[in-house]
Amino acid sequence: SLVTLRFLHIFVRMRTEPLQGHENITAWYGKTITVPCNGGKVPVDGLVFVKWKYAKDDGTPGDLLIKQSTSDQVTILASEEYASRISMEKDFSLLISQASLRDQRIFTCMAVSPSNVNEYSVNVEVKKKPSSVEIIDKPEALKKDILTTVGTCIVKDSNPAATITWTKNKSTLNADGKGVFITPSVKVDPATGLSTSHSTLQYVAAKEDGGAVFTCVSTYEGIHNETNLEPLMFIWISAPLGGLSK
Amino acid sequence: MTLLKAVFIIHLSYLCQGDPYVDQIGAKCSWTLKMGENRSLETVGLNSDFAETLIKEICQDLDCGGVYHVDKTTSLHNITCLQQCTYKNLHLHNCSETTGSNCSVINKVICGHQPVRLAGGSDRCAGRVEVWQNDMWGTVCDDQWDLRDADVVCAQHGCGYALNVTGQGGQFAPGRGPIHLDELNCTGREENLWACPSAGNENDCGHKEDAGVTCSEMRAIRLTGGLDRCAGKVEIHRNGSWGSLCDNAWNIHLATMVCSMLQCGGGAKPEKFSRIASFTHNNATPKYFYVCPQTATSLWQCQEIYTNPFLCMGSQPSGVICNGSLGLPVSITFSENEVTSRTTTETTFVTTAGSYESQSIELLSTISLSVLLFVFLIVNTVLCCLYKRRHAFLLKEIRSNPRSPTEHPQNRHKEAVSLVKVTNNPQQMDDPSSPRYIGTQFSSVYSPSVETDYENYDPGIDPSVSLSTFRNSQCYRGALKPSGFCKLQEEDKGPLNGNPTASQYARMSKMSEDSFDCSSTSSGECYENIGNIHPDAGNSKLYSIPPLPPKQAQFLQNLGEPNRITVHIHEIRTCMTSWCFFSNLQMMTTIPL
Repeated sequence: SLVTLRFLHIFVRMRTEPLQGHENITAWYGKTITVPCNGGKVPVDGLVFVKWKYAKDDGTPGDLLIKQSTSDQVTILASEEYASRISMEKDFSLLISQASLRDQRIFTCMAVSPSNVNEYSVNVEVKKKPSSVEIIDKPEALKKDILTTVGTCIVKDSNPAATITWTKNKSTLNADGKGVFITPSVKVDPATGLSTSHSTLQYVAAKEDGGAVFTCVSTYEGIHNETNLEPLMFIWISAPLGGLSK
Repeated sequence: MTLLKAVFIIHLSYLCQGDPYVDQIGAKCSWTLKMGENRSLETVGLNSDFAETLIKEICQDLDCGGVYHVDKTTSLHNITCLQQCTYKNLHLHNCSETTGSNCSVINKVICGHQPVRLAGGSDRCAGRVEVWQNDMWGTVCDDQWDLRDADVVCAQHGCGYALNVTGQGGQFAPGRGPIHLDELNCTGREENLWACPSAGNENDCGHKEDAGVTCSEMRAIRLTGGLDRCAGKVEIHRNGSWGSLCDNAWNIHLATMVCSMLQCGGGAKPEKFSRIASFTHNNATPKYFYVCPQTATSLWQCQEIYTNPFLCMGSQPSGVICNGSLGLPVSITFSENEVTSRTTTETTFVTTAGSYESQSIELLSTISLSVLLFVFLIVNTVLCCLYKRRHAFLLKEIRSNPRSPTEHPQNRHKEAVSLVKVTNNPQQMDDPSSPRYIGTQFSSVYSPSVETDYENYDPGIDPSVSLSTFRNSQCYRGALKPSGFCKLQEEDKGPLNGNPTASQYARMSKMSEDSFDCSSTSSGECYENIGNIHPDAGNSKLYSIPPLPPKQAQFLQNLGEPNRITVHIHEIRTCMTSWCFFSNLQMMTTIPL
């Protein structure tokens, strides 16, 4: 049965090796990315060198750095954006400092012996929490039966983009085309690639809305961040006819 | 009766099977003693006194000269000790067995004709040929010394085949001791030089005529494509071809090592070593990978792995710019299209140089010197015609000599020469009239070095490089394409974009063949003269010398050391008298700048 097990093992290896999927890792923007080579388990038997490469934008491989097993020094091969930002850990992990969104690609570690080449690919994702949440375009007062812009909530510089929802007295407002209008948009900074989410809430107040608390809820990676709008002054004057259509 | 005879022979051979016999190990003149078939596991013990005479007898019988080395173990217990055997046809017969204490076991005997060494070279596979006789190492005279003779040495020494031979004035220093062999006439298939017809040690040679050889297995390294010999793509020599070094093996340790092996940068860390340019592997030449221990000081101390598909996967050829080097030509740094880039560089260079130098006094002095040279050429041509009626071959050589002319060539110089020399060889091998390469196992891997990516930048194959004074004053001023410009400056070095090595080789072969002709009739005095005055003049004729890194040369200039242009005019086909005459001229025409 041991032999069978071994066979099974070999079979599994043979099945899995060509299908080796990418390992996924996540790093924080601006911090150092640690890309492990085969999860930190590099087969050292007969190992001659470990080389890291990456898939360039055009799909061609670009060499990053190399370390021979007999040498204690790492040789940087990259000449472009990575040359000054990369180094290697003792366990052959690739370190990339000052992570940016351009680092979201596939990095491949080659562990080479005279008789074999093992390649391990890692897909890197770089995340960034929003740097701030603020509400602008606040009105002076809410007027009954008149469509008023309650505010524009801005969630700045995140990756991926944050989602914004609005609540009134803790209950979610949904755009209904009559009393609630929500205009969302996402702007991507061309330099950094970071997303800034905007959401504008327009609302037709009813008589029961006096003292209502509107809240912008920004959600990033499942975490909610609530920003309350200070209670607005409420004006009881009925809107003249056609006020809604404004 | 015949039947009886046959039975007797069978019986005898059966008896012989148990007798010790001489077992040759790898070569004719290297052997050990073994017991015959049915006692094959037994060691052969011999009475020590008897062993001594027997070994001599066997070496002589094998036609292998005296006894060079005996590897034996003595005083073994419980061993059958043989003595008073009769030796015939590699077998010992009629031995008497004793069990004395004075017994030894012969592990290996190397007879005198087996050992050969190559001395004074950069590698064990290149150097002055030395053979052993009568307890002394001695040299071989260069009379009639050719590639076939040298092939024997290379094969015997495990160094492949001969790439080229040197004699008088060659790059290897003269040896000492006796001159054992002269006038060798080997076929190339002999086991050792002693098996070739020769004049033995009755010769009229001096040590200045010591024969040398560069074998195909010579390990050498060079940098190609740089502005000087201390920068460029790393190339490794083996099997008569230059291969590249995969940069998967490349690191600061190896790069520093390579620079120091080439005596570049004075042991300092290289200026740049990682991906210095986008070099590409040549598919026709081998790719080398080295696994080097931390303690290694030379690439040859590392484990060499030859064209391994995994280790060189995704690699580029290694390159390095050693400390103090001029680096790479601007255009090749990221250019793949060598032809266009080369042409543009050359044109740009000439124009730049022209505009820079148009008002300089140096240009004027260069022109006047050229005129002077030309006058000298004419004068000497006339002189040659006077001395002999045959067609004369003129070779002009100009070189700067910032060092004292009597100074012995430095090792670095010599090594550089040896590397360049090999570059010339492909021409030799391409020559279809040279049958010696047909059927050699090595020739299949051969690929001419001129296939390197940036051949025209290769200082090794540039025939104009001996013009180093011109380089200092003019070529490097433009810092673009010095060699091309130098070629323009020289009128008789062959077409600019043609094959410079071909003409160079033509000169080289003429030179060597003629020098040997002369040598055989010489009394030696004049040769001595030439050799002493310009110990490396012969080299620079045969092989172009890569210049000193120009920074160094300029440095010397700055120190105020006088720069000289020495004009060598050698009449090649003539013998004695004209040689003397011209070598004297050579001394006189040292002009301080």
